[in-house]
Amino acid sequence: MIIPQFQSMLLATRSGGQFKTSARWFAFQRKVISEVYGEFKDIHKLKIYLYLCKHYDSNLGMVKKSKRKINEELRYVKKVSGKIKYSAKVRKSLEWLEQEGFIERVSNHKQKWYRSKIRVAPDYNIKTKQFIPCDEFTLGTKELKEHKHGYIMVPFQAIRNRSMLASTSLAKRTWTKQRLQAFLLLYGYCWLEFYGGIDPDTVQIDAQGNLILSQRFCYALKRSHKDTVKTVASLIKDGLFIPVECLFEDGVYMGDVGTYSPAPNSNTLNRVVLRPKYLIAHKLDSAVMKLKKGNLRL
Amino acid sequence: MSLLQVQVENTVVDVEHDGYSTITIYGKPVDASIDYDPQQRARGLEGKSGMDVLQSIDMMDFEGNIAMLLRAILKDQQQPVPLRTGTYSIEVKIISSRTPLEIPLIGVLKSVIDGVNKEIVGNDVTIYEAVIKYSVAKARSRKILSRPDDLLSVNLYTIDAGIKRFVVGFDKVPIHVVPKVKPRLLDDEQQSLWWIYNEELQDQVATALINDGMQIPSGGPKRIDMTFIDDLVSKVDIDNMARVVYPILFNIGVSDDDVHSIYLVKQAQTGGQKSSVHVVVQ
Repeated sequence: MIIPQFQSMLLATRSGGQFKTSARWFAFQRKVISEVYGEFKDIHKLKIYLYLCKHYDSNLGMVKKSKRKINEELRYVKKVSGKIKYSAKVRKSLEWLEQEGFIERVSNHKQKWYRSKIRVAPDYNIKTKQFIPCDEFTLGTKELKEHKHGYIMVPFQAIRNRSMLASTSLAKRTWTKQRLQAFLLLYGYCWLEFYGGIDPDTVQIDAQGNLILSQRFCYALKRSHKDTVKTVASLIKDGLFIPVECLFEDGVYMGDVGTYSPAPNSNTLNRVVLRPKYLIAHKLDSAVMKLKKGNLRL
Repeated sequence: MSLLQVQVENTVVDVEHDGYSTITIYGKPVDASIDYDPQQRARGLEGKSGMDVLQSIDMMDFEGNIAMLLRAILKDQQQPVPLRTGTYSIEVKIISSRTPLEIPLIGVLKSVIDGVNKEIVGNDVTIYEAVIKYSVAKARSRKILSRPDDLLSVNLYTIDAGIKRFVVGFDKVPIHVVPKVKPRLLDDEQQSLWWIYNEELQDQVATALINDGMQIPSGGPKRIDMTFIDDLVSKVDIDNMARVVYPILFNIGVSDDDVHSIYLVKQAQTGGQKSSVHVVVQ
């Protein structure tokens, strides 16, 4: 599939002003999106889980969001004959997430306020099709890495409570489970130091704007290549991911096209890389990025 | 049998072969650990930045999935994770429409073992036998496929006094198999430092074998057996030893595409035995 308006998008990145930085980020566990993992029973559970991951305070070890707050921020509140009514969907989703081992309620059940914490996502028994809680691990980026639990670094600002996660008809229509998971998984392949964006072997874009995704990326989403390409193209159309021409030297990103002149005999390759609109600030400021010959045009 | 003496850097390696299927390389088996682990970093191999190594994201994820699948089954059976120390045997089977050229078996065996390491088996040096078998599946159209057409089976056994006992495993799980690949380095020159001896061994032994008339019949499917014998095998990973020897076969003309099964065994040296790697291609 050819990305619509491809050439004008490339042109626009040359003048800058396309990308936003986010100082805060949160971890979304990679194993949740995979061909050998179970399904969230419905979209509410996925969105509420993502919301809790986003607002998890690792210093406090909890999400400081009461049920009421969740209901309000995600627009589950209804007014029935003048009275405020909370949705059973939120309650049921939280119960399901707790029961399957994704979260743990940390406030006392008798207490009125609700507090939860994110757990290391449960393992999935493919034989019995059951989630098996991971009590033996504690949540922390170092511990996750040591035990082969990958995580996706998601810029805090990339996930919008109201337009993406809320229970409004617009958010429900636009942000389906597949689209949300594709969105997160794209961030999982984003590595600015090496690629200047998303791994170009996973998301391949040729000079004509032809979009090809790796098989494994599609399988992880449990979708066909055709379906997934459409989803990714729609994310590009909405400006959430932007194709950029980048220079690679010896297979490693060295800067955006136009930000430096490569030496005439260098092993330089011009590749189109898909870059998320929201970038994590400390990644851009890293020592490695400062050593690049060119730079990443914000 | 003919015996060759091969100069590798400043050592001489004795190599024996039968001209068409067996090779014995005498001396301690060499291992090639390419893990960029903290220990190696501590040995001064880390670059300036600390952000210099990028493992393949797909491969890391695949290894994590292998660990998860086995751990879930073990926990469901109330078994301790990681398993108690012992002697282990691992058997991997792949059914795929992709060819072994696309998913080289030696690399798949390595990524599966790395997935099992630490999380399932406390330390992969306790794996004394490793087998991988491939069979071809009919290709389906990849464009419309929403599930991987690789089917992977991984089964783990203990070996106790020669008796194999099943511990945990799964059969024919649709998962996209990812072989071990070298990580990307920001500074590629780093890598070359570590490989000189191994590459030299692979080149020199292969050249000597070819010059002496060794010729493995072309075509497949082939089965490769490797037996590593040494008094210190308990300390060396079986897959890492295999990864040093395997390129010799490649250099004398064995194509990944033809290799449909690999059997690795490591054995402690018994009286009178010399340290060696014994390879049979059939």
